[in-house]
Amino acid sequence: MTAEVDIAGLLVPTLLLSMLAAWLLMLPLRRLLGRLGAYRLVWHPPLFNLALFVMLTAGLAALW
Amino acid sequence: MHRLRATLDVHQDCRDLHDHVAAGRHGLPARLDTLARRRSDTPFHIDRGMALWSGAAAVVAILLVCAFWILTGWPSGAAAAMMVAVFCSFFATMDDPAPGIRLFLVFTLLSVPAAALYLLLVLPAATSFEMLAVAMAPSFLLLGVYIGRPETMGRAMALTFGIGGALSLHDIGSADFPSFLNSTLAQIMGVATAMVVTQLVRSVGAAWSARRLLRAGWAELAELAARTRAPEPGRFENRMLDRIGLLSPRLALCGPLGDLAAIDAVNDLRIGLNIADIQRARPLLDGSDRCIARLMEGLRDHFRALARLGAAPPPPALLERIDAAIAGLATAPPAAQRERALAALAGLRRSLFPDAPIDRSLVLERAA
Repeated sequence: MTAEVDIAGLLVPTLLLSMLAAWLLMLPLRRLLGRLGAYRLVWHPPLFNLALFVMLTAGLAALW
Repeated sequence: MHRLRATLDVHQDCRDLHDHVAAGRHGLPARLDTLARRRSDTPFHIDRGMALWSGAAAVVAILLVCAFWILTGWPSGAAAAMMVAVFCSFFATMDDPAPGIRLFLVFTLLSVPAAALYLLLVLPAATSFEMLAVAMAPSFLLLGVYIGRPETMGRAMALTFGIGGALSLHDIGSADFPSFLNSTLAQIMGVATAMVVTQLVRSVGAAWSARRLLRAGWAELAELAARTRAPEPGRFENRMLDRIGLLSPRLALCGPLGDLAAIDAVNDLRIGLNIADIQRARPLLDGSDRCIARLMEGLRDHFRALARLGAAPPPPALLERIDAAIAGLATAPPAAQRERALAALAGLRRSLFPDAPIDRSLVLERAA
């Protein structure tokens, strides 16, 4: 992926954009997982959320 | 007699306080105010373990952000490091600081449009100090009003930090969009990292915290029973009362959870006061000291076991030792200290074994 992308004259790092996109994806995903009861099976919910966020960021960055 | 008098005094104090509060007056009534001030002189309950733990969480968060700052070479990483340090420490006294930090994060984000407006449009147009003051007045006066009210104070403070911080970051007068964006991103990154690390490493539940407070109380009771000299008046009561004040909201939050359901922290306070009374009377009663010494050992072992393993009913052997101490004291010559020690022993028996029947014949026999 290109390290930085040009948006209206600003050079924005693409990693930042992937993190933003991953965070936006996490918001409904967390609610869905909560509804399905996944958090009752998980040992440490915040750690699980962080791991999921990192995986989503890595996935989106690889796609870009 | 002394106990009855003390009960009446406390009852009168409660009625005074009740009337005072019902009349809507601020502060405490004069007599209670001096009492409260004298009480506040000695230290309250200190939890060094949790303080160390909060500090460790802050260290982890700062190391993470500084590593990111150094590895990416991002100049605005400095603002992120500063924010993470501030926000890890800000709410450190709470059991779960994460919701407080999240509130701050949300309102820092909400302050970004206002800060951008000020920095990029209003400030360049202000050419004198008066114009600057007039331009800043509406928002800061409004925020000041909201900071003054307790229910909106946290949110208004976040907005003020956001706007004020953005304005002061550019005292050289360079108000361009890229540097604003960089510093805002750094702020947000710092607060978000503080929240994530706090949730991962530091947040503890109310039940865990309640158990920790109870164990600290029991450890102090064991220490009180193990002493060879009389304790100084006032110190134990202060710490125990502080613990009770800290425990009540946590126990209310846990609800009826298993082993915490039947906890009565005020009972522990009563036990401690009785033990302190007995310890004070001990040097002046030579005859029955062996029974009392055995009782103190039993109490010390019981509370040490509680502090280590958790709540458990007191062993029946302890009841026998209390009865032996009472019977032993009954043979001593009557004196003021003996009466106080007997009252304390009776209180102790009542607190530890509220349902145990009293074998009066045993005590009367020894006394005769």
